[in-house]
Amino acid sequence: MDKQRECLLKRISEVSFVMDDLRLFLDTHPCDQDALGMYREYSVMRAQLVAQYTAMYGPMSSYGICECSEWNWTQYPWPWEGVC
Amino acid sequence: MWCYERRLQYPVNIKETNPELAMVIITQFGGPDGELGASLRYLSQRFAMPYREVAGVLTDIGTEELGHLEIICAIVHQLTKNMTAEEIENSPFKNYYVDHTLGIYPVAASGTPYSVTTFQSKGDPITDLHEDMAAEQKARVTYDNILRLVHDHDVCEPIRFLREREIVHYQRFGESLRIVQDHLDSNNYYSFNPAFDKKCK
Repeated sequence: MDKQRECLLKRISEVSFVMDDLRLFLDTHPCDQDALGMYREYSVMRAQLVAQYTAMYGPMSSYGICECSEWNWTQYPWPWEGVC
Repeated sequence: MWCYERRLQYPVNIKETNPELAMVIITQFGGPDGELGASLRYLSQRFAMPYREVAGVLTDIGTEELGHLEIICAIVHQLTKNMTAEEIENSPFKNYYVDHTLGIYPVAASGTPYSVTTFQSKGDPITDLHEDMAAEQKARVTYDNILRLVHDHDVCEPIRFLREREIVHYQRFGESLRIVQDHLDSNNYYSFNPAFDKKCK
């Protein structure tokens, strides 16, 4: 995997993980303003990163595929393939 | 409804194959305290959960567990990739190989296929949440046991991540139990089942 793609994917994983953890916290602490603010902030960050990744390395989710003449969902590596 | 994302929750990039280790780690896919059972347990239990915030916890943790079994399967897949027939012949992996080749099949470390009899969906919030908290601890112990056997950094890192998530989930289920108890008669939590008896809210 090229370095730039690896970096971007790592950043998406990190930002998504913050949101995964916050989501569970907010389920049991729905009025926590700090957590709500952080979720909002990371949500904006994540949307930008995913848009950047999609433009450079193909779709991360199939719902957003629209701008291609050929179906490209299955043309990129699957996440379990690894580096070797 | 679920939507697939083309990424692992935590990256898996293993450079050295190790079929013996794969046979141990696969238990967190198809074993009695594995991620598949965890996901099915929470996603099944949520329908009878009368409190929306707790049904949300069951939905979100059940969903995260799907991501975790994908990580476990990726580890097993990469640990058994590109093996020759000779390498397989000299490894305990040969018993698995003869039934599944390099396909990923949910079994325990003992070789027993996955069984739904390892979990309950009792339809009683207190009962189900106690089972869920126990399940997170059992999975955490299994990861502790696995970590004593793993010496490859590439395998350790995702396993450590998964172990930490068991602890966070245990915490959230503990809070869920408190939410359920806050809805009930504090003098007798067990006088009725809020998921069945109509008189209570």
